[in-house]
Amino acid sequence: MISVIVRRVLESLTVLLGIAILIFLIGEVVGDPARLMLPMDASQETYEAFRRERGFDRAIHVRFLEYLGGVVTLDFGDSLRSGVDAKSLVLRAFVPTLLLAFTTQLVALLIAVPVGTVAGMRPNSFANRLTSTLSIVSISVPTFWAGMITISVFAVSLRLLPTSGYGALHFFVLPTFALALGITGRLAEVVRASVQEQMTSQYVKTARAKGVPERRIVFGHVLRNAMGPVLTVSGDEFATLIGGATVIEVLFGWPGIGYLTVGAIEGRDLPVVQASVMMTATAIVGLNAIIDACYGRIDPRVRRRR
Amino acid sequence: MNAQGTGSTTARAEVIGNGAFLSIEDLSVEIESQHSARQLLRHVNLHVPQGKVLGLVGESGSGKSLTALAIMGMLPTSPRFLVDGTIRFQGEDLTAATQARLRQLRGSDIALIGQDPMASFNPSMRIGQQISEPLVIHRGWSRRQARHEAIDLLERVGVRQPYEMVDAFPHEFSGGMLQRAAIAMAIGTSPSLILADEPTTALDVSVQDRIIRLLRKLCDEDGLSMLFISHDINVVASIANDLAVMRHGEVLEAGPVRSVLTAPARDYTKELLDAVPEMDGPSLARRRFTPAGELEPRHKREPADLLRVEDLKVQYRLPNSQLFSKRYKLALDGISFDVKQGEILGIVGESGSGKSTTARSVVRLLAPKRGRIMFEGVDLLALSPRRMRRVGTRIQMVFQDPFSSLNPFRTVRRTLDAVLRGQSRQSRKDRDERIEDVLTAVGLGPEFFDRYPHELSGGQRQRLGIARALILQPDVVILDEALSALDVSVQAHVLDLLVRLQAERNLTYLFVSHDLATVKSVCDRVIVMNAGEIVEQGPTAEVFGNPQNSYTRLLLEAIPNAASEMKRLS
Repeated sequence: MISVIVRRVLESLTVLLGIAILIFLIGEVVGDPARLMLPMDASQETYEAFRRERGFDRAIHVRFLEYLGGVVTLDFGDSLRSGVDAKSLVLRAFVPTLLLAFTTQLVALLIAVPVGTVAGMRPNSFANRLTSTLSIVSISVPTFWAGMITISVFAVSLRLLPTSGYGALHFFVLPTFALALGITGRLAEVVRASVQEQMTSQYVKTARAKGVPERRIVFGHVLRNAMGPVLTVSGDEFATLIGGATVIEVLFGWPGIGYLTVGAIEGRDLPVVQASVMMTATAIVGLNAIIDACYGRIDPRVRRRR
Repeated sequence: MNAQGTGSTTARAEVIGNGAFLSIEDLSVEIESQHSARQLLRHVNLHVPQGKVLGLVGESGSGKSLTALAIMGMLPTSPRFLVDGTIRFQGEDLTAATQARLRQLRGSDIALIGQDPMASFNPSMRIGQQISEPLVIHRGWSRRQARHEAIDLLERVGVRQPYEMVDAFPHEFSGGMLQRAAIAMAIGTSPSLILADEPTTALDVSVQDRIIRLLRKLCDEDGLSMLFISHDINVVASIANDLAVMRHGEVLEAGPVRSVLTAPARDYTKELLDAVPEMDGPSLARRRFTPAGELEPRHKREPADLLRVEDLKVQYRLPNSQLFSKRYKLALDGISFDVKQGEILGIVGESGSGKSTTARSVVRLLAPKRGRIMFEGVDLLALSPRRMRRVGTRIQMVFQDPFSSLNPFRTVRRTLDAVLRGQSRQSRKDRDERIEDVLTAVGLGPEFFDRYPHELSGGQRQRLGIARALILQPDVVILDEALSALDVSVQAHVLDLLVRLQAERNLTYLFVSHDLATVKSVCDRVIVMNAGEIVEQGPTAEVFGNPQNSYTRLLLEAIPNAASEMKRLS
C-alpha cells in the first residue's frame, strides 16, 4: 500500500515537473520580460540596469533552476501589473472557481444519474429516446449562448437574479445552470449507455434467474458496475472546470481562475500566468489521483492490479 | 392451480409413466418482428421426472437454451416472443403464471446454472453475497445468517478455504472454482429443479469432469431434478438418465439415454453420434488419403525436420497503467520441439498451458524473449520484418473464431484477393484462377464467391479461413483450435477436409487443440503442455496408449466418453 502511494506521488511529481518545464519554455518564447515590464520609452541604460537587477541577463539554465526553486517554494514572484504576490492572487481566485466547479458537477450528477439510469433500464422505451434527444440538444447548446440567454431572461427581463458578480447563493444560479447544461447532457448520455450495456450482461441474467427484483438488480448490481465510464467523463469535466470556465467567468464577472488568467495573459503578466497554470495543473493531477482511487472503490479488479 | 388441473397433470404423468414433475407440452415459441414471424420452438414435448436428469442435446440454434429461458419465464420482451403450449412445474402452468409468481419461483424452486461462470457473476460484488442473495430475497434471511450459509455451501461444493473465499471477488477465483460457486448459488434455497445450460462448456476437460461429478452427487443426495443442456453428447450421456435430441426448434427423439444412444431412431442422432470423435475410434491418420486416392502407409522414408523450435521463452507484459513498473507473466518457459515434413503434430493442453502462445510465436505474432525457431535452417526470430514477410507466407495460420478473424466488409473473393495482392504481382486473371482453385479445394462453390462473411455458416466461414491460409501455398499450416467454435457435425466435415488437403498438398500441420479425441484421430505425434512447459511428447499412439506423465494421465481420464462407451457396448 505504501509503495503504491509512493509510486503514485512520484508519477505525479514527474508530470508536474514536465508542466513546469513547459511553462518556463513558453515564458522564454513569448518575449523579453524586461521589455514587458518597463515603460515603452525606457532608455537602453535603464533597460540594461533593470535586466541586471532582476537577473534576466543570466544564462538560461541558471534562471531555470531559480525558477524551479520558486515553483517548489510556491514563489512565482510578484504580479507585473499590480505588484501583488502572484501566488496569493491565484489562491484567492481559486476559491470561486472551485465552488462553481463543485456546484456545477453536483447539479449535473444529481440530474444525470437518475435520468440516465431510468432511461438505461428500459432500452426501447420512450423515456430512453427522450433522454437521448434531450442530451444531444443540451450538449449542442454553446455555453456562452446559454449564459447570455439566461442573463437576458432571468436577470434582465424578469429581474429575478443578478446579472453578474460573486457572493451569496443566488449569484451561483445562472453560471451554474449555464455550465451544467452541457455537462448534464453528456453525463446523462454516458449513464444511459453504460446502464443499458450492463443490463444486457450475463450477471444481470443470473440475478433475474435468482428471482432478484428488477429494482434491486439496478441498485444492487448494475449501478456500481455502470459507474466506471461515468467517473471517467465527470472527472474530465471537473478538470476542465477547475482550469477555469473562462467564458462563463468572464461573462458573469466571476472572480475565478479563468477570469484572472485571461486578464493576466492580456496584460502579459507572466508571473501570474505561470502561477495559475502551475496551480491548476497541480489541482488536476491531484484530482486524477482521487479519481483513480475511486476506480478501485468501484471495481475490485482494478485494486489488485496496482 | 385448482385440484382438477393437478389431477390432469398426474394423469398425464402416468401416461408418460415416470411421474414427470416438469412437463413441457406442445411448447411453441415464435418471434414476432415487424414483417414476419419466425418459429423458434415447434411443439416441444419434454418431461423431467422427479429426481432424474434429462439431457438436452443439440447444435447451436437448435433451441435448447431458449427452452430453458421459456421455463424460467425469461424470454426477452422485445422483440416479442409468442409462447404457445404449457410448461407444467409441480402441477402449475408456468406459461400462465404472472411475472411476480415466476420471480418467486426463480432462485427458489427453479435455479439456473449458466455457461460462463466468469460472466455470470457480478464482478464488483463479493462471492458470498451473491451466493446468499436468493436466501436474502426468498427466505428473508439476515446478511449474517446468509453469509454463514454461503460458507457452508462453498464447502459443500468443494471450494477450498471457504472462510476466506466467501469474501473474495469473482476475479480471484479460477474458472472451475467459480463454476462450483455458481452451483452453490443455485442450490442454496434447495430448489427442486435445476436448469444447467452448458455448465461445463467454458471449462477445461479435467475441471469439467469434476463439475459433472459434483452435479451428479447433488442430484443423488438431494433428489434434485435437472435439465442438463449441452452440445456435447458425451457430456450429457455421462450425467443424464433420459436424453432428448433437438434440432431446428424440434425435439427429434427422446428416451432413456441408453436406448437413444444404442438404438437411435433418427438419422440426425446417428450423425451426431458418428461425428463425435472417439478416443477408441479408428484413426483418421490410418485411413489417410494419398494423392492417388488409395491407402498406403505413410512415411516410407524418414522425413527431415521442417521446423525446429529451440528453448522458446515467451512472457507477456501484464496490463498496467503505471508509469514506473512493469510486470510480466511467463507464458512459455523454454520449450523445444521439432516438426517433420508432412506430419501432423498435435499440441494439447488446457487453457493457459501455452499452446496458443506456441502457435502464435511460430508465425511471430508474438515476440519471444528467448529461443530460436528454425525453419529450413533459418532462424525466423532473427529475420528482418521484411524477410519475415516473405518467408512467413510459407507458414500460415487458421484461427479459432472464423467470424471475428474475417473482415466483415469483404466478400469471399476480395478476402482472398487481398491476401494475393499483398504478396505478389499477378494479373487479375491469374489471381482469380488461384482463388477459384483454392475455394473449390475447400468445397466452396461459385455461389459463395461474392458473399460476405455474415452470409456464410460457421463451417463455411472456417472453410474460407482455411482457403485464406492455403492460397499462398504454404508448407506449414498452424491450426489454432480451428474446429473448436464449430458444431460437432460440422467439425467432422472440416476435419475430413483438413486431412484430405494435408495429404493432397503434402502439408505440415501444427494442430493446436484442447480436444484430445480429435488430436488422437488425426495427429502423428503429440505434445502435451501444462503451465508453459512440455510435459510429454511422442508418437500419438504411445502418448495416448501409455502416458508417462501424471498430468497426461489426468487429462485422458477426464475425457467424457459415456456416449462412445454405450455405443461400443451395444
